[in-house]
Amino acid sequence: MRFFSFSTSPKLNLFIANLCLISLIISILSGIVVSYHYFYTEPLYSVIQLESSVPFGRFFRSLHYFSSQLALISTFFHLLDSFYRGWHHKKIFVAWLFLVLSFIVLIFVTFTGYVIRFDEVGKLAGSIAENLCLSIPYVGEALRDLLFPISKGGLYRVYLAHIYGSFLLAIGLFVWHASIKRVLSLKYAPYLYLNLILPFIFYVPLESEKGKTVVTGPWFFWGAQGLLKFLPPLGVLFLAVFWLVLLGFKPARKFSPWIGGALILWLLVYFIFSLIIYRDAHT
Amino acid sequence: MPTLKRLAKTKSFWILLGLTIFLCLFYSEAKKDRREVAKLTSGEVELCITCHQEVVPEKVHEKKVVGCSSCHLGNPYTLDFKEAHKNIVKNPGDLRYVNLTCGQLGCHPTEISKVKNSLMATNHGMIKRVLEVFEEKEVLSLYPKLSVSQLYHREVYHKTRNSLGLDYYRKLCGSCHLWLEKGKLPYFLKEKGGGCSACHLVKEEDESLNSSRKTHPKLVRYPPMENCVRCHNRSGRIGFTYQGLYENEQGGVGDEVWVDGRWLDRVSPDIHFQKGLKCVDCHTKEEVMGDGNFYYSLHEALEIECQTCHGGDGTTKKGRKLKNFQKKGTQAYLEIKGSEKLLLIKKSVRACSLSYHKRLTCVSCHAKHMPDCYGCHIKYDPRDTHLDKILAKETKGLWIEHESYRRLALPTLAVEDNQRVVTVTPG
Repeated sequence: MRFFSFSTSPKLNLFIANLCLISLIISILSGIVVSYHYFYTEPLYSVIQLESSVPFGRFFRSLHYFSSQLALISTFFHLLDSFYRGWHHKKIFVAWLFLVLSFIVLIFVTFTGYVIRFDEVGKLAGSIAENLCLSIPYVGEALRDLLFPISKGGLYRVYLAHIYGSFLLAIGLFVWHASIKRVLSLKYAPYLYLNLILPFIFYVPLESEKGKTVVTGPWFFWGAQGLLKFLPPLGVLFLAVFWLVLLGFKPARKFSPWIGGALILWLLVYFIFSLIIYRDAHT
Repeated sequence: MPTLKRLAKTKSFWILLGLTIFLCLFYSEAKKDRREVAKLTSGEVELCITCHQEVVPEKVHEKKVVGCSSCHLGNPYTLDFKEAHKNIVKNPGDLRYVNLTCGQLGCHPTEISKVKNSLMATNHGMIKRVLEVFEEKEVLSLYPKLSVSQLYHREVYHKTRNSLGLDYYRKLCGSCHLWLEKGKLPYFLKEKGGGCSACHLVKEEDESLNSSRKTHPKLVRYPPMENCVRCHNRSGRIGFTYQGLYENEQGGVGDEVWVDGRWLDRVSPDIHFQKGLKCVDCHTKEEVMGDGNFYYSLHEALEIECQTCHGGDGTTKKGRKLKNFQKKGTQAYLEIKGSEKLLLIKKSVRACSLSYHKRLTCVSCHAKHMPDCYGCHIKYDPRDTHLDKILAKETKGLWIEHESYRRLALPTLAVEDNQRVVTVTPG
């Protein structure tokens, strides 16, 4: 992993940590460019217009997409890495709480990113999110009105949630992790280029659900979709366990192999359910 | 590796790499063909029509209204050729995926399940009859509702592979059903099958419409007779007889040659044909496309009779009212579907109501002629091969049909169920 011999921490995996930092910054910056051409009143049209008519539009959209995906994946591994190496003990509980919460916010922001482009996947994901909110007892309607009132008022609030969530992440990032001066250092160049090269190699078009018998959400929700589909009440509990473990782990002094095993098992189950949903959607 | 490490520490390396990326990006942008984002009349984005300039020669499925992806699937949100054509279907009417195309919500969802249960899709009547003739009732006891779609399943194929009756059906009858994939079989057979398209698709012949553009096949509400006759031209040969064609004894002489090479003589057509009536003018939607019930034979599915119009009030024997039957005063009319032309319906004459004619069906007196083939027999040669229409490949076992002679004569009469006198034909 230590391909580049920059200053390293004896504990944390710096490749993951740096990738996470740079990807998130690129995601936010490219998001600013993309948002300039985005209109929540005509979401799909404006995204396609961005791709087909705006100079470098397709590149910026792809860059925003890939940097966000990289940020999500690397933050997840960064979280696990910190957890495994016991770094949460070096922080106060609030800091640990923020790290876990920032990952939840990142998932939320990535999800809303799918929703606001409003292709068929986004449209359906938005509708599912709205209905999931409504199914929560007591606070469901208020939560729906706050985050996903798509059927009532379109995408305005979802768009705002996407923007505000991104700012929250940016603030969290720079408060807890890095300074702007540090980010401009040459040692982050490989991570920057990794983000820049991906949009060149791969193209991720807007998705259509035409021809599919099973509607799927964004890839990182396939597992949750499978769990909620096949094990409705247990699935919710199962999904909550991961976060409860992460948040409640602060008091433990050592990383227990039991907890590690449970986390691996959790991930394995989530991965299997993701595969089931993928298979159902592609047959 | 050490060189790469050294390079990675220099500013100029990263600047050069950045410049290279920028130049590549600039080049790809300069090459890019910029096009206006196309929208349908509903406001939905549909990029397919940006490239596809084919003319759709009808209003309901007009390109600006339904676009391309509503029927042919694919991804309408990208101009990338590969991505746009992923999961595309050539024939949206194919019953394998018709639920996603013609049968999707907002289009024709109720028709699909009915069509899948109709005899044209199940062929159960034909399969059952063949199995009965071959005395293979054990297949029917294993699959009491055996339909042609099941013959495509590997499990059914393996369990029934020793059935000569099904082998006969697969090779001689298996091209006339809605589950057949259009274009999969060779020669004239490639025009057959295709689910909804088997009946509702018409190839646009009019080149003058727009010669510089390709023309999309036309979808019609009322299938033309040619589409019906594509299949209904064997056994009783009703499709031929109705329009005044007779499949002669095949000596290499005749007035016309059918697509499969059979010689046809011109004879006097049915009076309804002369008046301009197509098959669907009399046969109801429920008879043809199914009413949702699973029928074991054609007799069960049919509901119109001569008396429905002639002397009747346009109500079929299943109690359904013909939509194109009109009564004005004491006169009854039948509207030719797809046009506003009204045809006066003749009332039954006095002879029809005479007590000694009571048991006669209308056709036993009014049918002019009927093709009869005598001495029909089939030969099976296990050494040779024959095209299996279900598997779409040659398999062992050749079926050859023989007949002694054929005549176009007054129809043979028979008593059905010891009640009615009907016309019958061998073959």
